[in-house]
Amino acid sequence: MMKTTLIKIAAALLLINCIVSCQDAIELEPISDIGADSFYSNTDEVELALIGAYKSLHLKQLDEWVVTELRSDNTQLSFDNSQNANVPYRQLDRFVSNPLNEFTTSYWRASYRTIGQANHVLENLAVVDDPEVAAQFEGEARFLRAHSLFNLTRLYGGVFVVTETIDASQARNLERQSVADAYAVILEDLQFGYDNLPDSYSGDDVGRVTKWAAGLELGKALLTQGTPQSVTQAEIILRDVVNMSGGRLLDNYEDVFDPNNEMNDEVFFGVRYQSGLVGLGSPFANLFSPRASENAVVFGGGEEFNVPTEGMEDIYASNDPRARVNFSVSWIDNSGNLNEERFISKYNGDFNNVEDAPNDWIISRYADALLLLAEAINENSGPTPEAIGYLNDVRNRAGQSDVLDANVDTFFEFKLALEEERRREFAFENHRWFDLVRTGRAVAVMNEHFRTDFQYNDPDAPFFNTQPIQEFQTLLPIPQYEIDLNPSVAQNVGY
Amino acid sequence: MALFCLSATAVAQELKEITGTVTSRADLEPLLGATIQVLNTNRAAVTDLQGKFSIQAGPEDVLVVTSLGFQTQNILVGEKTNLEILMEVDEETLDEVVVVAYGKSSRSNLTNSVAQLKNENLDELTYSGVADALKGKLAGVQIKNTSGEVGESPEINIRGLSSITASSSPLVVVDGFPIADALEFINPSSIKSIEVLKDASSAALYGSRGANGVILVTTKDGDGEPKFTFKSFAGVKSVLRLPDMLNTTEFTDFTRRERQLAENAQAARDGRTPDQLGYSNLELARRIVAQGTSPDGNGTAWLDQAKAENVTIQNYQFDVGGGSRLSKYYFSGQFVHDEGLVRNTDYKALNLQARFSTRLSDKVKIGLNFRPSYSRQQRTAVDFSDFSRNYAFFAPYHNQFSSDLTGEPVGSYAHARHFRNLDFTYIDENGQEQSFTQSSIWGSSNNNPLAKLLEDDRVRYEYRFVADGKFDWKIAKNLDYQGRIGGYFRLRTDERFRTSQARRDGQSFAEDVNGVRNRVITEHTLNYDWKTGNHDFDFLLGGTYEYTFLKTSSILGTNFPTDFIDTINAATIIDANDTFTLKEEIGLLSGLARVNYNYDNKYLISAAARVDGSSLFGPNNKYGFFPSASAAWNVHNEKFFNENITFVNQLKLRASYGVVGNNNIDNYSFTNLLFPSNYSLGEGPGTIISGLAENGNTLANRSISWEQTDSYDIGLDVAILDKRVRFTADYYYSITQDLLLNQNVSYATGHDNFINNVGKIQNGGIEFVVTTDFDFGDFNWVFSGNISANRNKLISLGGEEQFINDGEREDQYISRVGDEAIQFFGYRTIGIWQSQDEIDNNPSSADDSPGGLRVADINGDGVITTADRTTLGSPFPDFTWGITNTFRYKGFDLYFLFQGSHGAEVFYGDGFYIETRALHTDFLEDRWVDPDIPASQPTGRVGREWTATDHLIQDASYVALREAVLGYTFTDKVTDALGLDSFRVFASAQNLLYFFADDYYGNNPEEVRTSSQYSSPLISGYQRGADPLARQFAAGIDITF
Repeated sequence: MMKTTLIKIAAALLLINCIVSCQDAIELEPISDIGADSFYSNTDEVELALIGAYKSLHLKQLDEWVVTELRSDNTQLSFDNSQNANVPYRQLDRFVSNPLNEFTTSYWRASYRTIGQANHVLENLAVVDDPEVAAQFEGEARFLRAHSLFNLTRLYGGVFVVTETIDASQARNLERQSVADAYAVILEDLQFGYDNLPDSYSGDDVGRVTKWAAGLELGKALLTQGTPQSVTQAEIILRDVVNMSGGRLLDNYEDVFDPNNEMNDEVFFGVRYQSGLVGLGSPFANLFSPRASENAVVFGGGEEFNVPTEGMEDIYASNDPRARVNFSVSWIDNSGNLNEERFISKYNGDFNNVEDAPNDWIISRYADALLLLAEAINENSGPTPEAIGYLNDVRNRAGQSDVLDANVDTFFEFKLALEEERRREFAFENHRWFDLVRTGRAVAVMNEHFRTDFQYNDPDAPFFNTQPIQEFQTLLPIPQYEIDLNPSVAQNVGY
Repeated sequence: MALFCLSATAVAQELKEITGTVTSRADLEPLLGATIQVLNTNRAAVTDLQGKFSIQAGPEDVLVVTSLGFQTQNILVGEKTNLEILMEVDEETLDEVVVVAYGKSSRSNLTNSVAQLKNENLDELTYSGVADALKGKLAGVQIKNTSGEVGESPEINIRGLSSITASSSPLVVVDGFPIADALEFINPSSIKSIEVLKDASSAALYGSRGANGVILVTTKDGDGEPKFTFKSFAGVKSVLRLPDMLNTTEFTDFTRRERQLAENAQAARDGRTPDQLGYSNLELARRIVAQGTSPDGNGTAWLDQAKAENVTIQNYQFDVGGGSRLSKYYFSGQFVHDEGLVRNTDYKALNLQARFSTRLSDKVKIGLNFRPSYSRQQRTAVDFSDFSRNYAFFAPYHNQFSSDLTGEPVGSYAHARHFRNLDFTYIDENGQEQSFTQSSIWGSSNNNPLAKLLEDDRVRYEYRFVADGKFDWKIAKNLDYQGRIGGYFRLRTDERFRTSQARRDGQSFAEDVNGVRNRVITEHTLNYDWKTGNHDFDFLLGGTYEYTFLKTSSILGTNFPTDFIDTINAATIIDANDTFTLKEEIGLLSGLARVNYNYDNKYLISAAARVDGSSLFGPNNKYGFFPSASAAWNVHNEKFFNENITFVNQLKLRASYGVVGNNNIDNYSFTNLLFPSNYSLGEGPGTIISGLAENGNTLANRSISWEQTDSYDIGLDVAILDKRVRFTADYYYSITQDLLLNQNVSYATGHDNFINNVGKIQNGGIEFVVTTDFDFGDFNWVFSGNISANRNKLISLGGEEQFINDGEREDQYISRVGDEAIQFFGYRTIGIWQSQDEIDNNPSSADDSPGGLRVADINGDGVITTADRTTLGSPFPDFTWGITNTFRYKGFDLYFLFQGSHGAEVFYGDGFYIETRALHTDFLEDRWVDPDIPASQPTGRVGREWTATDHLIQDASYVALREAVLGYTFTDKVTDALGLDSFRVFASAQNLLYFFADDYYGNNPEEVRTSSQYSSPLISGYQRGADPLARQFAAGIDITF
């Protein structure tokens, strides 16, 4: 009897136990993550989100070379890679892309991820008590947003201009906006940064967006927008950047890219990478090194993407140090044999894990400011001595003599001289394609490139040979993903 | 079993009062209504609620004890005045007992669609797991192998695609205790029967857990004298089919021939005599390397390199059970060792089970089940297709020839990149020595696949311990309480060690990932039986709580000083980014109720409801309500029927309606989570700075809530000719609404998708099962056939007309309102482009090229754009079927199963690879070479990407002689002599016959596999790197003593 009573009590307890404890039993909070709803309640938390937005640049940077440099005459897909399974790269290299292309989509996606994270920061600034700090955060976030939007606009034409967090149903009804609408936001964001960001940072803040990084980007955006007023304004701002930023050309071109000398006086802004298997390594050394190189070039060998074209060898004078900083023409394999093969070596710091290089990807630097200012002056006033002087500054640093005035005494000659110098100076920094588009030279330059470069005329692979491109192909197609979601989103003409 | 059969004579004797109880031996429950009759008299008594009776009888009288469903007993009274009578269940006459949710039912009283499979020879089939053995045997149950790896469990799908979230796996309940992955580790010989609850009304008591159907597994328990069973089989496996690939001699001849054809065509255009082309330097180099590295000079057959030699499977099962009136016990153990067809893969498992139950008092009974198990799975590190897309030129290891040529050491792994910038010499047709330098024989920088396979060890250990305790308490007459508490614990350890030889970077790497899954379930039910006249009510009320805790920890190290230490203590670098722990928890709180009503075994009605509260949903959406109702009419119990139609033994009509819910979504989907998102700042090389960012992948949805399926089933059960022929037909129809889906969202949100309740899907289908059982003297034939067809249709998508999802390559999948839930989507091919001229004069686009695929201008606008994509076929079968036959003659038995699936299509993803297109003979016949040579097949590397079209979509229909078992059971003479109860030997075969569709190029139409998960559940039917099908032969013994 005793036993039965005990059992009854035990059963009753069990029941009660459940009823009581189960009230909370389905109210379970995340353990290893934190929900966004209750976050962003003070300055430190907003700053964490801002750092997260910087980090999102890695995703954007990962594929940027595919939609810029690879499409330009600076690089191409190697013969082996063209033959193999790398169809999406080949499509972009040879302008036979379509709206389903993987990289056309991934770059778009990555850019909007940065924009979304910047918007989060901007919407939570109210909790930042110190107005100066709030202005700085705002300037940084708006720079990140503007930088992404600027690149999107240059690559795809009119895009979605997203300036606040949007939910799925708002996203469903998005329409492409005009290029002018995008520039309005880009310029306003950059102007805000230019007006509010600090001149420089110290300690662990070095690398965040400065006034001058915003200024240079603003000047570039104005110059790209290309209206008479905007070009005039670009010249003013770029002149301030050149004269007041405290930036300078380093004496030695190679030092600009030294991974131990990052954020040096020449660099305004870069996407920061760090070695040591902490999730911040740069993949580009491995992506760009020769496929067969094993560990002979960089640790872990290469994929042989983004191979410098033959034309790149011809643009440098034999005494120009920039050529060997930017790329190599041969490598010695583990057996000691010399292999003649071009590959980008600009991002090859020391590292001993795959895709874990320390090299930053520089977005903007003083040389860029000089040459853009020269370009703006040329647009406004023709090749003035001041403008030619800036070109010569960049040439001289690379051990090259001044240009002969006779060779740059017309607007167009000087424009071409700048174009060529920029190609030498910024090789493989993802500037070339944007330069060609900004100056309206893309179709002419690319068709000449396709006509002359052997790889596009290889009689052994006639099916890969490339037809001349048309103007519409300077824009990428809008990713089919967006149109499949919302059929009323218009595709770019020609796709 | 001994039966007393005494002939009693009516002799005058002194009668006395005999009392006693009648109890069922199986569950020791008193039997109500058992009849006790004195033989050859009209004196009889009936037992009361306690099973008690009293009757007048003399010592020489024989009592005949009968109770429905039990074997009749004849008992000589003798001197006893109090008899304890234990009744044995009568398997012959008893209406089949069917296990249902929270209880049992007889087949005839069932109102739902439940498929039952008794364990006849499940444990004689050469599978390492139970699920595979169910294939083809249950109508409406589809079993798909998503991975061909040994030890990997297949995906089970009941009645089509209702939910579209990641998992559509049914709930598995073992002896009343839910164990999600039970089929992976339950010893097949311990299984008594398997029931599949197919319609929502039968599964409704499991609420959200039963959304994808429920599989109930009932295991054996012991009784009586200890009984030992030993069962074992061993078998060999071989590859059923591999693709036909060119060797180096054939390949270089082929490419040379193509060049010659092109030259002939060019010469014709130029009006000249064509040059006779010899081998190119590249072809020569390839031939020279192949001749130097392979015995027959044709190069290496890489597919053979992937295959393991002498692949075997071994299985040992042992069990013992027994019991007394108070206690019962059953122990079983299984050891299985199953080797994979791919080298360096195998699976070993030890599965144990202990069941114990005892009666503490008249009213209280407890039971305990323990199921510990261990498994070790050696997994492959590369896809099988890595081998099928490897050129044959070089051997896996350098021999003297290739070592001399490349300078690499003899015996080391040979890789394509070693054969670069080499000087070759050969003797030409004129006897002249010629030499040349070849930059590369193949541009692959990858390691050879054998190095990747053998130098990369991936092992998965699983340690499970499942225990549950049951407490039965008879509170009052007809009122029972059952409490159950159980725990499921699983530790899964994934260890990986990649030596410095595995990849071209020469970096060694080790990973150790530990996942703990801990689940506690408590369950309380009250059962009340109420009978009055012909009305029989059965009430059930209960509550359950289920708590799941998950923890993952991972550590990753690289750069080991030597390949001989594979534990991470030796790693030089710990990868900070991949070293972490993660925890999460899930709670599910439920209440349930059911009432069954039975009128005179004619009219049966059942109604049930369950309320589930889930932690997976946000504060306002946690609860879901799932009602169900069903009814059946036993027409054969009606007078008007059984008086007139005697050859029909059973005719039952069933109808049911039920609602189940689904909460199968990622944890915490109702809030955006922030994840570490660190960045590097500071001067020089930089410093890590902490950051947090939202997971950009999935956008949270605060109002996310239950997905709900309403389903209807009508069925017919017929038995005729003394139940020798049984027939079951079911028609079902279901509508799932508020589908849980990670819906694609514009990237402009900064996210890829968001979790949403969106749209409706409808499933309808029919199932037929026929079973016959005939005896012809000593000859017995049992036949069972099932056929089922399911159609699904998307009814709405939350206002959208369609969703398009991107697959691994340019393959796409469309879900369009009004159509099947998933279809392949892309360009429809209409042959190939013969010439540039043809391209220029027809609808085309920039990526078109002569020799490439030509696609249809669907919208007729004169150009090919993405608007010309169209639906290209369905990954769902039109119908599936299975036929089993068992023949018995004296001691012999022969069993075989034919099984088929028809109408499903598969996307042959292997065809993406340029090497596949260059080497697989299927792709080479009549391939395009030159504009002036008419051809039908595209050439491998040019023009529109094949994966964007229907070119690689193939018919995955098949018919297989899946299983055959031939057995012999020795006669009593032999077993008695050996001191055994029974002795059986058997031989079995799997996939003895297999018929593929003509246009299927792959190894295995049943396997749908990718190297990584699909990005969306709305992607289906893509196949890449499928492991080949196996043909197996095995032999075994089965001893009981």
